[in-house]
Amino acid sequence: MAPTTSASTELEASLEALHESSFGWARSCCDGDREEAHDVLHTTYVKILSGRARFEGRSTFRTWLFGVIRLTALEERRASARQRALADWDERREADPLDAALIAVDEREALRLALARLPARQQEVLHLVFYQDLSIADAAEVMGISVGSARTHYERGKKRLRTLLFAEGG
Amino acid sequence: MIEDAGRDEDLRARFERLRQEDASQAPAFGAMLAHVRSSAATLQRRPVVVADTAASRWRPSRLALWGAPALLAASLVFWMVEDRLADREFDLLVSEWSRTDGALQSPTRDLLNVPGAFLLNQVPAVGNGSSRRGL
Repeated sequence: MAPTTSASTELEASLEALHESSFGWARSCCDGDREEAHDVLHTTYVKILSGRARFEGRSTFRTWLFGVIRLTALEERRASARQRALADWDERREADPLDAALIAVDEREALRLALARLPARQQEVLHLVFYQDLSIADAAEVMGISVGSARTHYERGKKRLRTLLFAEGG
Repeated sequence: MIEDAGRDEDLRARFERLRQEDASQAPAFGAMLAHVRSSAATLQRRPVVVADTAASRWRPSRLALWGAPALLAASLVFWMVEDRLADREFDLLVSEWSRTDGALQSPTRDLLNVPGAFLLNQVPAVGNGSSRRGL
């Protein structure tokens, strides 16, 4: 059932407050693809405002919203997205021996590409903890896994990300 | 440990710059909402529940949590009832057999079947008029 008018207004205000964070999270779920993140966020909002996804207060609104975004991204994720990101990365590395320096200049792009090379769980937990400032417990809630498992992904992901950033690209 | 914390700070700073970039590239909420509203209105006619992720995650477990004991209890009741019915059926069978084929018979029973034995059953009772003891 769709939310009532006042509930809908409240819902929209909550969504607006988290809009930028949600877009960042959607983008992370789509391997940094802006267009895909836009589609995912749009579909997520449609689900919420049409009442197909309902917040039942079992967690914080943000945790729940991020969970819906994640599920939506999984549903809509194109199989080629990850391959494309990896191909871009490899192409850039092979194309120019000075590529490391170029990547260092474009630090944000380097971080995005390094994240894209991590296993999905590691990407997710690092984004949620470092980018969204969530605790590991909250990240586990969003990801639908145990805290212990999230912590393992966090430690491994951090180690691997450092290797990719500091050893390969700076 | 200190070095690790420092490197965490470095990662955090990089993510912060990424966040700033994403924020500058995020689509305008108002424009997106206007489009979402029209799509949502269409979808309202065919509701499909996409539940809280936590709820989705636990639903099968909850089902197992409550379903398994219920199934076990039902099985136990069924087993007990069936067992009782089988016992009762067996009792009836034994009772019937005992009454007919399995009835206790003395191994010397036939020794009493001597010639003229039937006369013993026809001797009138003494002092009892004309009545005869029945067979």
